[in-house]
Amino acid sequence: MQQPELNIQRARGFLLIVAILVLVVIAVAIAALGNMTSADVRSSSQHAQSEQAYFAATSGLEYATRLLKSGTACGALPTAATAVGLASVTLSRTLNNPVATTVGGAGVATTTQTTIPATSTAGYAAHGRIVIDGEQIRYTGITATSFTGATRGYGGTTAATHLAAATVLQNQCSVQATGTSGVATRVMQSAIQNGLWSEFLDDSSTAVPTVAVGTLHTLNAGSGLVTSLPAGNNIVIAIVALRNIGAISTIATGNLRLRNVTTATTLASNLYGIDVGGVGAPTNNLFDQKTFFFVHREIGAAANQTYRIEGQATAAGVNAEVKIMVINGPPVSSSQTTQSNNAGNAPAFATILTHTPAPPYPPGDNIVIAAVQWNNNSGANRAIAATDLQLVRSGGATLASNTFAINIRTNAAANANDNGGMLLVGREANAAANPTYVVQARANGLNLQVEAKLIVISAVGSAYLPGGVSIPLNASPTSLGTLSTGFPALRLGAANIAVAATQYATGNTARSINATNEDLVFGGSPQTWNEFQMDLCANVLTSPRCADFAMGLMGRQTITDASPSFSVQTSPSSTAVNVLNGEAKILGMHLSPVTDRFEVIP
Amino acid sequence: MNRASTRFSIPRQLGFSLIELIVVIVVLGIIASMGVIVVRDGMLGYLRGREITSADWQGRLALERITRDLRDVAWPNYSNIAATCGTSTFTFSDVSSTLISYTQSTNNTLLRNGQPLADNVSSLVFNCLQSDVQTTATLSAVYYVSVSMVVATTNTNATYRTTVKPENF
Repeated sequence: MQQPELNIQRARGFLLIVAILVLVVIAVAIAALGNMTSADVRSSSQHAQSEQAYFAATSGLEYATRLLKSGTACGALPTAATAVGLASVTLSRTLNNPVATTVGGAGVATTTQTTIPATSTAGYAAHGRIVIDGEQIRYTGITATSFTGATRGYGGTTAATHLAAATVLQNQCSVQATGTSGVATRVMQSAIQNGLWSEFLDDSSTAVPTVAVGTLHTLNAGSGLVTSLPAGNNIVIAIVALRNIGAISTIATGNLRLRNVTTATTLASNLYGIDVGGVGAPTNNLFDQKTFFFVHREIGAAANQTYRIEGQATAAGVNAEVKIMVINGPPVSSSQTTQSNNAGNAPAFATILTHTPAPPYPPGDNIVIAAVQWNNNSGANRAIAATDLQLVRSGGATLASNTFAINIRTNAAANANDNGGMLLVGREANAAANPTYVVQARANGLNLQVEAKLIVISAVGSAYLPGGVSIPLNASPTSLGTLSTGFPALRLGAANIAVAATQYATGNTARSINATNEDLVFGGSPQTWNEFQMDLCANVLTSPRCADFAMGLMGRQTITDASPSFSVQTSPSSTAVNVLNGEAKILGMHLSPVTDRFEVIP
Repeated sequence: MNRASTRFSIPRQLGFSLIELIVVIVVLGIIASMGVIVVRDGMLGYLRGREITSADWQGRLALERITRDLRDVAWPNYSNIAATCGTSTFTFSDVSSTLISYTQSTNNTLLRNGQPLADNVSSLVFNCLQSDVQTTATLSAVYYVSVSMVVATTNTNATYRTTVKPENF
């Protein structure tokens, strides 16, 4: 009776075993799938963390670059971990600004050798940049007595040979950024130079202020050029265009000023009064536009200075447009504040300004810019013939001069004084050491007052178009010249600067160049231009004095491919042939503060 | 009688009729075939997944390696780049002046300086791009480098692309 009942219960257990077996097989399969998926998810997330760590490290370098640019000292860069999204970055840094060593051994005999011998490399960074004479050199390693893996002629400079005992400069912040995200760590390094930063203010695209009567008044739109630059030697170049189509107004001596607002210091001002004005078409007696130039080097400027132009006139009606460029801490520079003299009575030249940078001043490519003003105090009309206002290396070549004759009306006559200004932009390539630069002039008579200020910039990448060729403005627009450079592409924090000096002269018909029609063109489009119309009167015997005019343009480029070009294009009011002639000198500078950025693979 | 009838009924419950057996076999067959499908798909999925994962990581890690190297290319030592733009061979110097060369061998192995980096790379193309992302062969205009790589195995075919801006250009 009971045996059969037990058999029944056994029969029920048969399906249970099958079910368990099936379930086990399915469970194993699911577990395998799950394990594989979770491994995939884990490795994906680690990959993502690695990417996060990389970009955190990169942003750390950019943060450090930005802090250094805006005046934070290398040693003051924050070293605490900073959260960047889901990751964090930690900076470490070393200031490499050692007592300068010298080139050792037999010197650097070729322009291609990649090992630079030195008497010692103590205190120099393991990689980065050095400056020897006027050449920037990037290197990738050091031994006790050499720099190895050198890239010559870095940052747009010219590779050159160097004698033994030449000075080796270094002033850089070596930064390492460690990005961390989860279990991933990525490490990036960069060498960031102290200096070689720049800032630019261009009023040609903003509101143009009026020169106030009786009180000094800011001539920039806004508060001026508010820089966020580190402490150092600041080179300031300013172009002030003035125009008054009303009655004549005078800006007296010292009343057109380049000011450092932060320190409340006047850096430079006009030595001669500037008369601007005249109603109606330009004639012999009317000078409705003037251009004035400042060049100045502020030695040992503190961080974050503000620069502006101030002016004060005797009568209402003068408008002003300002461009200001500041270059912070080029490796080597020099300057001369105002000097003046009467121009020589042709054929004799008179020295207006002479400047010898404190020796030892290294050889290399020297950028020399002089801002000149003249004032006819002779009681008769005067003229400086073509090429007779010169920027020269003493005992050497002429670096820049006027292409067209400058006719200057006597200040003894009624109405405006024909005092004017000019920018002489020059470059001495492969200059020998310890130069002397001279501004000299001669005129067709005595007592033509001339004043000049001068700066010298060395060891930065540069290119130069010397101009000096009269180009008829027979087309609209006409190119006055194109400066083709071999500059490297710009990377973070770097900039190219273009400074153009132009001069115009008419034939026997009056001509104008309307506002915005003289353009500095780079990156494929006009970037900066003249804000005021330039009027030139007919160059006839009775009124040659307003038939020539000097102008200047400056621009700054922050994004570009390698080998950018800069050109000046001008559209005349009429393209009737061979009436208006123009000329342009263009100087390009390449400022690259960041030497290299690369990943340290652990 | 009642006992006898009870006694007869018990043997009938102990056995299975043919119909019952057929039903059980059919049901078990259905369950087994479903189970086989599930298990087979799972196993195939696992095997294919393993293949995909392997190919994926070949591609990802190779691309990662290539991008790391390309980021460290130093201006102006990219003189070898333009000559090999648009091909499967790419040679350049990094910031430490170390020469790095990527090539694709005949048996579809990606080589870095002759060392195998990834297998089953059926296609590898380096393109040089200028700053407006147009293809260029002009040395000085190179601003980005794009990499396109296909990893193909029996069951998968994955394309990996990226564009790198070298830090030092």
